[in-house]
Amino acid sequence: MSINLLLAAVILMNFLLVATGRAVQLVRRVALQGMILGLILLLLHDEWHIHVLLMAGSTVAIKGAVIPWLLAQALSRTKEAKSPTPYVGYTLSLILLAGSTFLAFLLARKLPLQVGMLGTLFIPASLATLFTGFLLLITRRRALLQVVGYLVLENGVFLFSLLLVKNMPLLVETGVLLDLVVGIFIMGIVINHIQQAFDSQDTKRMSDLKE
Amino acid sequence: MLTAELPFLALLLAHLAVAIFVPPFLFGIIAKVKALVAGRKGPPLIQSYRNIAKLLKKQIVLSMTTTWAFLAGPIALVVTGLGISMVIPMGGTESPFGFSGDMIFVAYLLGMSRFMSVLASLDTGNSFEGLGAARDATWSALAEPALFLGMGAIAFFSGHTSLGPAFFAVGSTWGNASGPFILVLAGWSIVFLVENSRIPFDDPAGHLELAMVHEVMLLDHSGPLRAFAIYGASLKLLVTGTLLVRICLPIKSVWWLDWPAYFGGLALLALFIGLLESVLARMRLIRVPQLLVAAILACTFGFLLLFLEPK
Amino acid sequence: MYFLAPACFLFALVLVVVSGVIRQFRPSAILLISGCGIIFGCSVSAMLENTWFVNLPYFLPEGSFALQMDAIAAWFLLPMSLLPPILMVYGEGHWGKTNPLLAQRYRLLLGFATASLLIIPVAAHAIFFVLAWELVAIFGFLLIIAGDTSDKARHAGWIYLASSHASVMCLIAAFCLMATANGGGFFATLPVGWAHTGAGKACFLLFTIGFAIKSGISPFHFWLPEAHGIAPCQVAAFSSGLVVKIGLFGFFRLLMWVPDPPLWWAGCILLLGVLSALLGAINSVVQKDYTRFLAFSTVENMGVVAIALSIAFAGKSLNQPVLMALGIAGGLVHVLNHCIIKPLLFLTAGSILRITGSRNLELLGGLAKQQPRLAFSFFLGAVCICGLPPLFGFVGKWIILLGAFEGFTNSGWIWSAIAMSAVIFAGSLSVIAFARTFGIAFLGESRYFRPKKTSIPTLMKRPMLILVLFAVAISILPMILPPTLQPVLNLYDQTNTTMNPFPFFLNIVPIGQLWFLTCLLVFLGAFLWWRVKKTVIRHQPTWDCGYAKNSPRIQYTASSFAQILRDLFSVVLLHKKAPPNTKGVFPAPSQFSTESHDMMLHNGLNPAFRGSAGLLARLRIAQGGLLPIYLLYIVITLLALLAWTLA
Repeated sequence: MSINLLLAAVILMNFLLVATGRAVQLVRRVALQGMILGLILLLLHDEWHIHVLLMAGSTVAIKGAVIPWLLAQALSRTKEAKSPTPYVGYTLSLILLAGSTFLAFLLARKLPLQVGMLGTLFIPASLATLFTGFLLLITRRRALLQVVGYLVLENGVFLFSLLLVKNMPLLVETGVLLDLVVGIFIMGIVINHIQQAFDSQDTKRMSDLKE
Repeated sequence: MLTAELPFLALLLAHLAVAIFVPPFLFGIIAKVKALVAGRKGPPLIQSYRNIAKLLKKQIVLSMTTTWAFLAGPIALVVTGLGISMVIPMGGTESPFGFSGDMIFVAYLLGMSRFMSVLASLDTGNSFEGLGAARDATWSALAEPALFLGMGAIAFFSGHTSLGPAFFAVGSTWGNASGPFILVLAGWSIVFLVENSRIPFDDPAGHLELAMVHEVMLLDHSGPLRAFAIYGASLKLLVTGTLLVRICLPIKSVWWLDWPAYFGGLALLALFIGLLESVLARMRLIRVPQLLVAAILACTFGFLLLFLEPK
Repeated sequence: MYFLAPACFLFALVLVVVSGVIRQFRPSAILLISGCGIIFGCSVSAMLENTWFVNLPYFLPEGSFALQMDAIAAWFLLPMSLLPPILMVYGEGHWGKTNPLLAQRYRLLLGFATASLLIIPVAAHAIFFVLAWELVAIFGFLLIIAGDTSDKARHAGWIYLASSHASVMCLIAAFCLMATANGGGFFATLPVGWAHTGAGKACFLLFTIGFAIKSGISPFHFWLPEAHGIAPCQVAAFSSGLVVKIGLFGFFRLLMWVPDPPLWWAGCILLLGVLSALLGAINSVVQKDYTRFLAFSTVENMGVVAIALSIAFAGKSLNQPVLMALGIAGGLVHVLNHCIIKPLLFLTAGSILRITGSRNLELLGGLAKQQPRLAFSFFLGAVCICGLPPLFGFVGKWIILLGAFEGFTNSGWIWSAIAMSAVIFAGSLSVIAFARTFGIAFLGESRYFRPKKTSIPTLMKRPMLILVLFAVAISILPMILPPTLQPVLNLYDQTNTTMNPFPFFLNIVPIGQLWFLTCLLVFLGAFLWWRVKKTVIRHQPTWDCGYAKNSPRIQYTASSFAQILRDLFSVVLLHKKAPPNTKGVFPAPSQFSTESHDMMLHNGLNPAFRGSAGLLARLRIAQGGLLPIYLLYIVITLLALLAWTLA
């Protein structure tokens, strides 16, 4: 029951993320979503062994604190007052996300689920978060915001992997989290370099990826 | 042993005699006929012989531009003519040197004489000769498929690829398959006129440079070379005329009937040429390819008719 | 003892390759001559029934190093081993003093190209065959652009490379299909009845396209004039004399593998051959560049050999051994004729190019007086390749025409009448074309270039002399041809499982009588020549009809000579005419010009490629260059896949 509540909260957070314009706010809200995910992980297990506590704790810490801190560092180094307007406006993004969520609910009915997970909102939530991540990646022009979209994408994948939580070994989880941290760290550096080279993070001007 | 070779030797000698002595006579007949039709008395029938003899005694005047190709032209004309005369059957049932596939040899000898006369014309650097050579060579080349299709028809009918046995089969069953052979005769007549540069393709009596085709190629030859050129032209008339005559005449396999028939046929042919030249004028140059295509079509239809007839 | 011949062959190949690598001319020439000489010996011994087959260890996972020498391979190896040393010496004469670096590069490429070329007739496994084919294509391309770095040369080289690769693609596909029938890549007789299945038909079409592209048979001939009009003449000699023959060799092998070809195969090859012969002949008459003219003459001759091959295929389909024998023999003799004479013509053209510096026929004239021997070699070459008696070129055409006659008289294949007409018509057109080229270039007076006594280096003269001697030798003794043809016919006889045996060749082709008559005529001609030379001769300028200001430029030009044919066939040639502007009573000076391009390339392929490039350029919109767009494509694809899986 409470898991479903949290999952609904995640879905609503998606809408909030898409509607956010300012970068600092966006980073904070993504942090919040990550913390909710850690909470879901905690509530999913019936017995709270030490490794479960460790897992949830590290998820909350990394997704809620470490990564947002890295992003904030990158933000402060690359001072940009206002992000450029995205390719698709906020209102239209919201409508698109609503459609995607609806699609996610439709698809969820088709995909087979394990017994014990029936009736939960896992699949809609994860697919909706995936779409949110894609939406942010496609429509936002500022490089940093695209990184945030990547984060949301990872959140969606994380949610999907929670479906297999009984079978997912601890090591893989740790590995995924480590990947994430390192990835964000490197992206921060890259964005800094982009800023130094081009004096802007506007990816609309980086359009040479063609013949 | 000599008696076994006697028929072959006799045939060889007969062919040689005809090839060397008869051709200028044909020119004489043509000139006489044209003169008579025009109301004149005309040159004597042996005038060509006198011309050739006179020319043989003269000097050669060569242009400084020319090389060996100029000398080779008339010589090639004579040699190829004699070669063809050894291979085609004249009055007899076979030829002295015939072999399987000699039809092809005859056509290619004609091609060789065409090649060498073009070279001889271009050798002088005279643009009139180039003009005549271009026209003569092109028209003869366009007429060659007609010649071959006719030969194909004869080969198909007789089952032989050698002219001697082929013409024997045609002549001995004279009257069979006359429809196709009349078409072949029509096509071959046009080829005959083209190869020898007669009306309606060229006027052998005209001497205006821009109107000449064949005459212009003889323009710069003198002395013995000119004699060879005239004799070679008459020899070509003889051998190509033999093809025409042989396809029309029956063969009785009796030499004292066949040879006179052959000579009679040649004389008739010369008569017809004389009449044609007196009556027709030269055709417009644009029309010439159309007439050649008509010749090819005639021979093609003759061939097809033979092929599609139930045997 | 059995392995002596293959060992010699492989050793000779190594010699040929090494000869390219060595820098100095003399050791390189000695190595190439000895290597080619050994291969010539191997071929001759193979003709004497010493055929062999070896299967050597291989380094790639697929395929095998299988070599097989039989009579047909020997026949093709004979000219392939004779010509490269001749061409190498000529190249050294041409570039040795002026451009030694280029001479070295030429020797290297020639050595490698020759080695890969020599492998093709003896290759017995499909992958090995295709590998050697590809190598020949690459080295041929490098040879063609070796000396010239201009845009035009590179363009011609690209066309050559693209065509060669198209042919390799077709061959790979065809060999794959054949391997499904044979159960492997080794060359073997195909199962009876396979040729009538869908796979068999596709295989045949692919083989035909691949081999036709390589041998320059229409409608795939467009690369030949481009490449040969640009390449140095000895390279053009190599390409025209040897490389295009491997395409025809492929057809001969195909004839060997298929036991029961359907009759429409012969019709297909006949169509290509007729198209090739006629297009090549007509185009050759109107060319202004004498090297392009020789290239189109190659197209025409390849068409004639294709016609001979179609007669052979028809003979096999109709179970007529005489027809098949005549087709094979005629094709092979014509191939030999072309192999010897086309390089001679190209080398002569190279000498003309060296003397005058121009490829334009309209500017030449009167070369026979400065270079009488050069003129005579070109004359002999022209007479031989047009198939005129008394040289042995006539023998090839004669056998092919005998085959055509046999086709419609005894075998009931009426299309051989078209074969006959095409061979004849192409032959007469080529007579005109060669008479025109020889007449304009060598006879008359020089139209543009002042006569100067430029001498040709000995190293360039000797190769031409050797080729002339070959041609004359074979013409004097055409009786050596039937004994060399008989082993090849025996080979085809053995592979015929469903046919009657072949008759003995001399029984169907009376070469002896032809030779006798030709000799008589030659003696007569010589006698008359002697008589003419003995009469007193007086020299004076050409009669000019009273025109005072004579100049060599009023001689008949090459374009004028070809004008009747050009206008007659304008539908096919699609040439451009720029007529003069002669209006009014006193018109201003104006000019008349004509341009004849190869209609396949100029009016067919180039517009097609430009059109498709224009159409496809519209698809560029999809490449925005922005990362988000590519991500959008990913999302759409994922959604589509999801919908498809769940639907």
